[in-house]
Amino acid sequence: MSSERDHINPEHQLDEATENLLKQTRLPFKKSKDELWKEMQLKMATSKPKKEPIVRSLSWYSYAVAASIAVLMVSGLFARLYTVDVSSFQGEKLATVLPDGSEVTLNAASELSYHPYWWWANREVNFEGEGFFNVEKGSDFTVKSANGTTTVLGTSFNIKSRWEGYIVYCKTGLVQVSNARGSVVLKPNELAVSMINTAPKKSVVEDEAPFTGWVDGKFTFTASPIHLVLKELELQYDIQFKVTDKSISKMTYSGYFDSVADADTVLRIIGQSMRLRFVKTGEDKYSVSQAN
Amino acid sequence: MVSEREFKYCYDEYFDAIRSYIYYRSGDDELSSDLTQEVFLRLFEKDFEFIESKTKNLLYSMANQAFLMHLRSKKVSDKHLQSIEFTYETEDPQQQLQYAELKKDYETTLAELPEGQRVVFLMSRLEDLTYKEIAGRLGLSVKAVEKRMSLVLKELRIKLKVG
Repeated sequence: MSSERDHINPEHQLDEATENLLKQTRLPFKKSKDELWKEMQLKMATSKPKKEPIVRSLSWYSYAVAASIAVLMVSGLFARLYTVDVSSFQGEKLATVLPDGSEVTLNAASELSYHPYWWWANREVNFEGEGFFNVEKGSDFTVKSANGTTTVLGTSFNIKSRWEGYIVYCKTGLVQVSNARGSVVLKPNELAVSMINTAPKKSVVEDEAPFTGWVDGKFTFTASPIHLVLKELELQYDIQFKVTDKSISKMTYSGYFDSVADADTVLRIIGQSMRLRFVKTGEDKYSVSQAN
Repeated sequence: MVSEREFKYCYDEYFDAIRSYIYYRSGDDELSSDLTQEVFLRLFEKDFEFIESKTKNLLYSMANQAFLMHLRSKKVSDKHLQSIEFTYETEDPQQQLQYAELKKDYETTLAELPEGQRVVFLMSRLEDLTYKEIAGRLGLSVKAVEKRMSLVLKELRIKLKVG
């Protein structure tokens, strides 16, 4: 009895020679799955009724049609080009609703733009920074960033397109992440990480807090390089750090902060656990060095 | 409405399984391909939300209905199968010869089996599904799957004269 067959009860097996013969049997299909897909695509296209415009050859009527087409083209161009920009400053978080009811929460210093009057034809937004998207069901929803493109097949996900690369976390549904190097499809609790020069790499994550916690003001770090933590603090509190002690750049931080607390409290806590000294040097300015 | 990309994913995941399922029941290549296309088209037009296991079960029950509708439209009252055929994938001439000997008895035995038993047996042998997976797809209990398997094996041992 071959071991790969142990999903079959032993008493339900024939002798080994016969089992081995039967193992090689295949179904005799003439058409492949892909051929049938091509056939089906035609049927899929025609299954959606298309509206054909009716044009009559009455002369006065054709002028009217020509005029309305001109109006349509101008308004079409307007619809295509008219853009809405939504952006958050440092120290600010904001939520916005897109024309189809999809919700986006923008983390600090993030920017989103889209064409509201073109939305029905193409659900596409341009995006930089970090944001949590909760997308309404419908046609493809595409988020374009300099670092990569995310196409949604399902519902909610987090994108971070910042200095450390392009990081997408899928919370529910299916999400496709692509850049010039490649693409991956994410299922819930999967993460894709890519840099400008690398294809997206997929991994499974246990805990979503580091990726979506910021929506509720919770910032979780696990062994993150200290400069990323400082950068996040700068964004959240609209403050600036000056690192006076180069030796701290090798440190990593594990822990979390809650942006509900004020900057001084958070810096005191992080300072204690990391043995760092934050000295206020001016309005919203701090110097960072190692505590003795 | 489900997006086309999501639909394609669904198609790639389940097309083979659904077509095989109809083939186990009908033994008819063309019919299996046609009905499977029909099932996926209907799924495409349907307002369904893609949830892996739920969509899979939905597809099996749609395939079941499509096949029953077909039988009804053809007024096939006799559920007995005329024949079912397989191809054999190996280069080894000795194995091919052995299989050629076995083939006719094997196919005849399977065609004569009650439909439910044949489906269970072929899902297990050709798709390597566990009894639990088979039970889930067909809406049966694991006990029922085991029982059908025993009956098929009893029959095969007699007809093929093997151990």
